[in-house]
Amino acid sequence: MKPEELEVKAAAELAKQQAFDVRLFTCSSRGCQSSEALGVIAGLKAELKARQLESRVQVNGSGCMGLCSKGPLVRMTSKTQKDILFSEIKPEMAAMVVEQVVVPVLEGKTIEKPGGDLEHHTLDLNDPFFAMQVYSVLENNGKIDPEKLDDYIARDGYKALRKALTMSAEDICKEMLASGLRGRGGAGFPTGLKWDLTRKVQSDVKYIICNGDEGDPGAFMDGSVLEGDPHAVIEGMLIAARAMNATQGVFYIRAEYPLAVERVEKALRQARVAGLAGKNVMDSGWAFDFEIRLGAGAFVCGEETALIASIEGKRGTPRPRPPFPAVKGLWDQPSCINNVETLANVPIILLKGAPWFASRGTEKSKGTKLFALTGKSKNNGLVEVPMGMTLRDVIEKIGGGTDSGLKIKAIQTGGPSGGMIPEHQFDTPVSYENLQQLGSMMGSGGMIVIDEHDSVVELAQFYLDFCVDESCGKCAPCRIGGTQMLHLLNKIVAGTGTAEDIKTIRKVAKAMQKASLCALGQTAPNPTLSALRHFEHEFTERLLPVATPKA
Amino acid sequence: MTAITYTVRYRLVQFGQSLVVTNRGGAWIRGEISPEGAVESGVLSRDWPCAAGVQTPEILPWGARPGKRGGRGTMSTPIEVATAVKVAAPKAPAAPKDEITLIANKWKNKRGSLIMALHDLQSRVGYVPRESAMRLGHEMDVPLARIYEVVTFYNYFKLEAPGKYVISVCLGTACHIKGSAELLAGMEKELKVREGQSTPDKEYHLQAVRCLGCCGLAPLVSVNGKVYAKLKTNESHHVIERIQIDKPMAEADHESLAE
Repeated sequence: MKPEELEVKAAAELAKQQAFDVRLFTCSSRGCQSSEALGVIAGLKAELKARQLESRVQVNGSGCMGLCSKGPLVRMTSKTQKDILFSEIKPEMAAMVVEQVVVPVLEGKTIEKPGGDLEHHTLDLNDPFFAMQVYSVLENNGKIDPEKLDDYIARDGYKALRKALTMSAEDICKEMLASGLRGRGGAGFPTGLKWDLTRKVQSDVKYIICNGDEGDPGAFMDGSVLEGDPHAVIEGMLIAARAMNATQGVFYIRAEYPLAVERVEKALRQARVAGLAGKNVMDSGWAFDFEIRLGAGAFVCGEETALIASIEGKRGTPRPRPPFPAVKGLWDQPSCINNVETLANVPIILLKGAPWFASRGTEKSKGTKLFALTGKSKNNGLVEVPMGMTLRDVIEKIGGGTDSGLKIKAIQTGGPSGGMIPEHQFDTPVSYENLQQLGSMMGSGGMIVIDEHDSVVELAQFYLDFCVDESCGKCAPCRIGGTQMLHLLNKIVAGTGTAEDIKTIRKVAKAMQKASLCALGQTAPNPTLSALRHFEHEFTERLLPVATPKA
Repeated sequence: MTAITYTVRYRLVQFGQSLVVTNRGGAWIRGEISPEGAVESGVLSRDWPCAAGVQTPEILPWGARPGKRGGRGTMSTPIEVATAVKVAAPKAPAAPKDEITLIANKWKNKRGSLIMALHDLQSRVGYVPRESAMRLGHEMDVPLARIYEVVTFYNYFKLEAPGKYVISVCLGTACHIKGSAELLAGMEKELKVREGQSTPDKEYHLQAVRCLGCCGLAPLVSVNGKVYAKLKTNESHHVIERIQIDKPMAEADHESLAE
């Protein structure tokens, strides 16, 4: 594809879309597929065919539209009226949607809110859940079919790559640095700096690796982005490759996300056929291609050096750094590892400019962040909020409080590496620094709401158990320390712990934090420590009663 | 055949016809299993050196993961070795030889592709049988020890033929908060097996998994890829009933998977 062909393709696709009076988007991501979304798509198509409306109504799949607990979601867009979002649509309801809403709209009627049986299957788009989110990475979700390249191109897709091809590697790095984008995998290292470090290393072979091994239980942002907008990540990787003169791209994706793998495979095939990847990227003479490697269920493989070992086909055990991957990574060559969400941000920054991106957020944390809002939250699903929004707004307004009406006790962010944040600290704005100060961390973006009936002691036990199970066993502090801590925590949960045990937990935790080889061991004590910090009484309540001396 | 009640903290694992006992430190002792499933060599006697004061007996069939809930080694009762062996010694078909050649040819010229080849193998036969692993290693020029070290490191690989219907109970955080542990316990009771085991008739295999990525639908159970979402924690009986009703669908999925 020549650079100028992008506009032609986009215009052709837009004209095609304009020819339809109504377009229906049914979420075909993992969550909704498990609630029979594919049946809904088939049902809609069959009904429209029976009514001979195929030429006027387009039926599409789409990426995640956020409110996963109410799936499958169906979005209707029309030239003549505002969007309607249907929820919990079953395949047998497809005919009803067509008859009661689509047909009247085609006849020129305006439907404010569908009545009858569909009344309770319509979501209010003015609800804070939708209205308060700021879509940037998720902008395309619900508006394009992730399996169609032309849909992506019609929404300015690959224009950022075209721009990157005219820029010098150094300039792209500078632009990233100016945008203030930081790694969305959790640690928050400035992306521009990481790229620049890799760029400066001289080598004939360099790798750019996309970390899609979302091991944190309770988080599904990266999987949703790969499923909902795979071309954005591919474009981000191409730009990253350009910025550091990388020669090969590698996708490392969890094997537990077969749909994400399938979508990325398909998108890569499309990109190669269209000349956007492969031997001659956009007719520039630059050759760049990708490989896909699957994870196999090891949390530790989210760590850079363990991930590299896994790509090399070995056990995923980390190694000491330095040398950092930027110097000696995959196959001992300079490598840069970026998280899915980070890469998805890249095309947006290049297209809209660093100042635009940096205008959102706090002083040190820019842009938006995806969160997987789950647990006891009323609204469960994928949300995107600007950095700097208070936790309270995210949890109480977007999340809508708890589903049971019980009081929220705390949230847990950062998964097994993060910590708990009690309700009285919810007025803190979301940023890397703030969450760290509260004893938690940004992490990849899991946000689990717990209510007053949930035990933080048991939640801490759950996370520690996970880390002990996932510890690779290479270094003693993590292997032994984790096991000992869990042993003590089990004792406390069983009601046989003593005050001395709490002291020992704190001591072991400190040793683990200081002496573990990789982030898994260094952060494994965090949930327990933060629980102790904010809810120590819950631990002491469970201790063995101390015999009081007789008066 | 003598049934031995085994109460020490060593892992009992099976690889083909070999029975392997290992402690955490990695020392290995092998025994052989006769076709009837009896342990022939004497290593598995009651005289086996017991670690003093061990509180958590842990005996698992080859490939089973240690109990997820409460960490490693929380099985509360000793299992009879003979039973464990019987359950774990299915005569499942290995992948046809030419198929393995196909997989090997696809990957052997790509660096570091062992895990990808193993994924291919497991997606065809449902697990990684010893014989197939040996052949794959031979064709790809990878020692069996390397393959073994990789398949035992990653949770995703199974070393034992799973039951026909693999019931995966999600124990991710969102599901945990919504009581999935209770759901799993109910399933164990209902199927009369423990997590990580198959029913004796090889119909069901019950396993706990970490997060299937549908956290908005918690708690949930997935059976051969079909998801049963937003369950109540006390309705494990109902879930099994639904699985039984849906069987044809699951079977069809299974067949298409095999193709």
